[in-house]
Amino acid sequence: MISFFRIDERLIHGQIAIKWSRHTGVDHIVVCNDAAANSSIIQKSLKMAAPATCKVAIKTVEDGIKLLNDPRCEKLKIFILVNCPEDALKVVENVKGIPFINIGNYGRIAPEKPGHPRKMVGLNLYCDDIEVESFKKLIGTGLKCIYQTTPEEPSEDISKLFK
Amino acid sequence: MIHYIVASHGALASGFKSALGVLLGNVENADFIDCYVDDSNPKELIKNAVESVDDDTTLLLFSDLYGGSVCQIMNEFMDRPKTYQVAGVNLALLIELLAQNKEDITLDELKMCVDSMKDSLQCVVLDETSDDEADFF
Repeated sequence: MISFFRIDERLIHGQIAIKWSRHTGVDHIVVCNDAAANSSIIQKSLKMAAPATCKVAIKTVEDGIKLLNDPRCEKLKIFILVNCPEDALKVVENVKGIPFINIGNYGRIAPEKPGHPRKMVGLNLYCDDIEVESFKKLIGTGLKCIYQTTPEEPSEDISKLFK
Repeated sequence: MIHYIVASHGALASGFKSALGVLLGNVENADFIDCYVDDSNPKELIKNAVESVDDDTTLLLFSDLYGGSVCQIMNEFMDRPKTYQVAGVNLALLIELLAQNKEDITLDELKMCVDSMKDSLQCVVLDETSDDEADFF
């Protein structure tokens, strides 16, 4: 089952390993990211960052969707990670059982597209106009979209941030 | 209740405080003492921190080098009941203990925790990752 779905441009890192994995009690992490799946260095780095208590799969978005639709996933407690709203949309549209969308960090390190400057929408959330549209589409799927960097921070429904 | 006192030569202790601030947020029940950064007497600094801890609170002391002067100073406070020391502390151990957020800890539990964190200090060897789905399930 899918315990948690998060958009975090840093994918697996300290906040995930230390805080979210404990908070959600997950035992498997699935990263859906084309660049990570195609780079053995990124894969190794992400696996290093993951908590010892979790098994990790690093897949392209398409392969990640296939993996998540495998019936064997029902018995597992899965944490899905994507690093941008566009990938989030693809996964959400093709995988059932995603309880809600958590947005953690986005827009500080992902490269800016020329001609599309980013503006601050929340403390760790920066978006350009195209990304704002993607987030609006995510809100449009009907899934609750919550901006919350760590479990102790206050959470905010992003539909308030993207009017 | 558990109280933590981390002391070091130079600013390593406040360095730990800074790193923990980034990773865990503000750490409430801990003191970070930089020794030998000014004229202050390190023993006095540590003594003041120890004495402000309630008698029934478990006290965990952390020094930077096993056998170093900070460790030796801390040894002198270990006759206080429910007081334990880890020398050669690293960030991973502090994170592990603080994130557990337990009400209390025994010496055995502390020893188990230190043992389990031994891998936190290791050479990075990027070996072949197995992308076996059988492995995932």
